[in-house]
Amino acid sequence: MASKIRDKTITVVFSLAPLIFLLLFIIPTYASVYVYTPILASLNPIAPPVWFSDPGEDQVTVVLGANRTSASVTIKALTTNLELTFNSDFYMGPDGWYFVPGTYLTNAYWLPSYQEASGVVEIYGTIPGFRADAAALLQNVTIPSTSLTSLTEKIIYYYPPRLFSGCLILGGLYDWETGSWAFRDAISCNENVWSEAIFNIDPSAVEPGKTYGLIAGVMLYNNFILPQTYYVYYDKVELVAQTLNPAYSGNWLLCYSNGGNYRGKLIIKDSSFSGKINATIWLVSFEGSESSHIVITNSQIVIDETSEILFTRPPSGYSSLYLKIDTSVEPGSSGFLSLKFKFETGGVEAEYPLTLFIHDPEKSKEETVNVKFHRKIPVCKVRLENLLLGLGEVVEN
Amino acid sequence: MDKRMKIKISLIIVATLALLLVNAAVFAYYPVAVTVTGVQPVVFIAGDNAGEPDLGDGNTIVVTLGANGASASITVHPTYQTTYYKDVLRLQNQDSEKSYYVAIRVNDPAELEGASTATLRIYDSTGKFIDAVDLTTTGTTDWIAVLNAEDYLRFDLKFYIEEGTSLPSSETIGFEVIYSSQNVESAP
Repeated sequence: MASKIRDKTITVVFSLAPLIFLLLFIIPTYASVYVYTPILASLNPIAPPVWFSDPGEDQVTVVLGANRTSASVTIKALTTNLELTFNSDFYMGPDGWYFVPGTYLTNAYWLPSYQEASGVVEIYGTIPGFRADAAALLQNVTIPSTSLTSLTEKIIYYYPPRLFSGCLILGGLYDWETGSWAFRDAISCNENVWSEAIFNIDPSAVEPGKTYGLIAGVMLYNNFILPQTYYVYYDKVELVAQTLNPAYSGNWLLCYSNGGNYRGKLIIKDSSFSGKINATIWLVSFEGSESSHIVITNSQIVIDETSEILFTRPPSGYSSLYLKIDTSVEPGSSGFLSLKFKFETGGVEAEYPLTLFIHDPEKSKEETVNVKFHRKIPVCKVRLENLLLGLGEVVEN
Repeated sequence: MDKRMKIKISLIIVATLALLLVNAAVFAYYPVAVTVTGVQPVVFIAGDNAGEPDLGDGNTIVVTLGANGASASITVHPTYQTTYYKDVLRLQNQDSEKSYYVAIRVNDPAELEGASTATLRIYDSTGKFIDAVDLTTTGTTDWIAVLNAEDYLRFDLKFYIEEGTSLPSSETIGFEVIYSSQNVESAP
């Protein structure tokens, strides 16, 4: 009986074998329908619409990539002669500087040369009889986040005199947060000679890490009955600090765009530190708007990216974006950051790689100050960008 | 197994073989009317960033669809380093019931200098990454994605152009999206 059942089972299995074969291999093949839909992607690569440039700062060494879409930057943190102003000598143009016009002194231009000085800024205007007016150059500077031992504003100027006139050179630091002057002073002008106006600022008047508007102004009095046209020239405006700990505050890289509207940000990808480093890193647009800050405290990354900031093609002579840092280091310390500069427009985003090395060269007996080389001077004059700022208090001085 | 049983099995095997072999030599002609009804369950549609500004003043991300959405062409303007185009094209399943398996075939790869790369990145409609396809080599992927009924896949493009290499004035990449209702066999 059992053998009969087994025999029937075997018969059924072998009978079904061809059917199973058909089910497994033939029927599924009939369901294999494929649809091919083509896509053609055309790449039209373009020269970089955004690129980096060396700010030419004494404490900053920049090595740019072949197409200026990457950069390796080294910052020397020093305790002496920290120049807090960018482009203080106007060699290449007015980049970083804004014009605060007066009522009559409404023009400011960068000139390639004047009276044997290379790269100067000219302020001029016609002042009616028995009237006075003031105008100024302005740059935002960030005080290093470490104790200062001295702070000095130095202005090199040239004033061709007019009949029955008076002239004062104005120095000052404007506190944007409080809307008041942290420091201001005036010095009588010398005439027909390049002269220095030096303002020694009490370090306690400023807060470490805070940004102030540095003013290099002029106040002119026309005591004559007729209108007279006045000219004042600036060859250099600098704010120099001495600090307790090695520090650097200013631009570490510049960024340009040749058109389009972009949103850019910085992001830390990697880092390594030796010793103690504090730093804040941020972006400032030509228009003056600022991103939020990357924050590094005691060699720990507290905030690893900035907010986005809008930038576009700058006016002639200016940068689109300023990559800024305020850093102070314990003697002998160093830090390495690997960052990416990410920018986007519409439906595309691009990334450029950056490396930033901060160190204290004084401890390792390296050269502490670079000698600024003389650059080729473009032979055109550039109008300074106006920044309307109430200088009422200065005018009434 | 008795002798009779053995004979039965042998007869079945012989019959089967005879069916497979002998039937191949027998031709029977039955009339079949084939009705072809065109259906297009899956189409391309422009992504959210099609037509948006691209790098370079005045450039835009150009996405042109074939008349029936069965083909697409994309024009982009990358530059040195990494350039990423998000959501330029979508593959939309219009079928309300069936899912399809999707593979990519690169026919005409990008020819870029140095360590430069071109990649197609595929995401589902929730933004979940599915797979990345190298557009610098020819080949066909496995069935890398399932396109569910009434759902879509998002196509992004990522380029890395090595700094220091020369930029090609124009480069064309030809590839195909293959879809099928089965994933047992690779696409021929």
